[in-house]
Amino acid sequence: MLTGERSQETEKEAAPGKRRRPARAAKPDREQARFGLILLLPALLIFVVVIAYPVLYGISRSFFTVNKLTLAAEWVGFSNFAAELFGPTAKLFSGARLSVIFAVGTTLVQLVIGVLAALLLNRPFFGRSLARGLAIFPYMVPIVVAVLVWKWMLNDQLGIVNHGMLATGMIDTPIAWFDQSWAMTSVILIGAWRYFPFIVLVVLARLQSIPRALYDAARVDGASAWSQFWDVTLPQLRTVLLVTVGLRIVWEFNDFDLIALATNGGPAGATETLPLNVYNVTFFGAGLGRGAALSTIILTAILLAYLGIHIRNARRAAKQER
Amino acid sequence: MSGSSARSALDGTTRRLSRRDLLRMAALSTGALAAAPLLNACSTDAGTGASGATTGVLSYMSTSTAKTDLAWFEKVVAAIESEHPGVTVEGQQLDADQAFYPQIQTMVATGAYVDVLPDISESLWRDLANEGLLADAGEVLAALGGPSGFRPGMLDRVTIEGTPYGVPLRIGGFLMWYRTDLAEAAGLSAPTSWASLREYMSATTTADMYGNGIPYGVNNATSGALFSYILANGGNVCDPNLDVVFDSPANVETLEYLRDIAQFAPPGYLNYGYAETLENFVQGRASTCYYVGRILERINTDNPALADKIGVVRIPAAGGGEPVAAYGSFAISAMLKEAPNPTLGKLWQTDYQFATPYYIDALLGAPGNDYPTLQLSAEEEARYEADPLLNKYADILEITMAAAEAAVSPSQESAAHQPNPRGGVILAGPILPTVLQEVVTGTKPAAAAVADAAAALRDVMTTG
Repeated sequence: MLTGERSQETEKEAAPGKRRRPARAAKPDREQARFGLILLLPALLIFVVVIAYPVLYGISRSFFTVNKLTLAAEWVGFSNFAAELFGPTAKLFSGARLSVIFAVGTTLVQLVIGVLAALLLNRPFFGRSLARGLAIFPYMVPIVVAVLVWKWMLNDQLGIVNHGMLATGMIDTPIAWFDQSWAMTSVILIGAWRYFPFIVLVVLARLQSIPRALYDAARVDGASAWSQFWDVTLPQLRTVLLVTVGLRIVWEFNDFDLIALATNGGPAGATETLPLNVYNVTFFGAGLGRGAALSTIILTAILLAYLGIHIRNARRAAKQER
Repeated sequence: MSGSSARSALDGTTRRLSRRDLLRMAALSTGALAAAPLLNACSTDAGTGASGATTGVLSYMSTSTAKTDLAWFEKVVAAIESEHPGVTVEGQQLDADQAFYPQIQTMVATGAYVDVLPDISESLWRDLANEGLLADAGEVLAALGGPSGFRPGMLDRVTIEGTPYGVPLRIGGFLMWYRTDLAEAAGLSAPTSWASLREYMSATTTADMYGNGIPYGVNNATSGALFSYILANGGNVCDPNLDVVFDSPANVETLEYLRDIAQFAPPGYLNYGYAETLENFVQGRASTCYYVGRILERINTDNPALADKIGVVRIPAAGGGEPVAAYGSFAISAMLKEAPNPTLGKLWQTDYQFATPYYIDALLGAPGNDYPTLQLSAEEEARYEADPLLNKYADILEITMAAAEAAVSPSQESAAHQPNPRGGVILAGPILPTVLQEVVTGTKPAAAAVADAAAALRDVMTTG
């Protein structure tokens, strides 16, 4: 007998208005439930070891001064939080502003280049397979190599970019690509070069699954190439773009290595995003406890923002259902 | 029989595996995989027995990444592995810049120690020694000849309360390199004060040449340079009792001077570290360079046309006269108290790193860059002095040697200063470069920038 049928029968037998102890699950059901739990254990163990423990340990360190080498800790209460929020050396808000600029800026450039490249690579042409392979090249290069190569290419004295621009008369004097006015733009562009292949891969996969019939119907209706893109391609890409952009913004917001290697937060803090700020505070500033407090503040802010978005979406969904 | 069947190893029977059996096996395998790192962390280090036999894995973590240094390490590793067939050497070469310090912190935090730190900076050495993490080096020093085996004063620098915690490896000092041909063309002599340095920088700045070769990026090259110029103007980061005195009028003046001469720097100077500064000088794009003696080797290898056109001065004192101490490196080879295989660590130090011919080989990798801490034997001395580059630049070497001997660091700003346990963090961190950049770019007025930097330094000194 099926499990569902058995439980229906049990309900029928219960006297109306009389609360009855739920019947104990039959042995095979309990075994199945236990087996399910066993199956969950590895994932739970990994979650606890890899995510929950480090996060909780980090939060707990926020309330201590911690020796960087021995990890010996001394309770300081909320003073780490106060120092990182309101202290004279706090850079939380400037770091947050720069992180948003970097994350949004580089994701937008990636999005534009990635979608254009994917549209191009979706069309048949000679050497398309090779072009598709080459398109993901930036994503395959180790980040250290990529950034060092870009740093030398953008070097004011010996870099090929300035050399080329000077040779073609585009500029009279070399551009300092990492000075105050250019540094953020440069790291945004390096980030876009490095990660646009991710967008290409995702968008290209979606483009290949759009039914041809939609384009045929649009052409029959006299739609132009632009109209086909706007009214057919883009709506079909909408979901995948939303997910990809969401992921990229989160990843870029937390990007550390690219900026650390390119500018190390300089000049004069012009590219000192939050991850770099946490690193500097932890290893070269007020120490591990303060770094942990700063991380906890950032984590809380992100969770609150996520919660806000989630509640808004849930309300919207409920409204639509009504 | 289907593919999903297995023969029991015990009874030799064959039975069909159900889907549930497969899932259970998968769950157990995943669990085992997840637990593997934990089990591994609990296990003891196998293969490096405590018998003292020269077998096992010799591990090291080095700050040397220059081409000549890497070649030396390859040579030593090959020699150890061929002369001690039971020994395998596993090393990591990390950038001395920012990467090394966190790596050491991770090593200590996780307990995954290496046997030798062959070339750590004085500041990192002091941090580790202060935390009781370094092994007593008395036995190694005795094997190397005791106090008479080293140049005067060297062992004092690695001794804390009567116990030596490392072996002095090499010393070096930072200097201002300049172009003698350009100075001559401008009718100027070697810069010996800030005013004459500015005059030289101004005179040699042209359409394709920049007079200022000081790094201004966010890196430890800039920290060291700013520290040198602070000392040259009579300032300090901390006073002898380690109270922060960075917010002094002298330091404001120093930053304003560095802002003034920034007009003679290449456009991209705000992202310059050692590599860019050196490369510009070697390629003839800058007429000065804040660097150590490695320039001699680089110029002679990569741009011999300039080999006879270079000169050097110690960092000029602001008002001229006798130069004061500037930033310099003092490298130490140390073993950790928790080294998994101390026998092999000692073997590395006594039979290779400080033994003939490897010790002199290391110094001659970049002649003039670093100076010996050991008393060289007559044979070693002869080999060292016979180096063509050291012969050619004998007059320059006298200056570089004097700079090396007088060199100090934020870890101990002068003989009168107490050792600063936060010196390494101050040197490797962004506080000093950032204050310089803030002043140079006009982000903050010098006095305000210096006050903010002093507050950040106090944070480091009290809680860092």
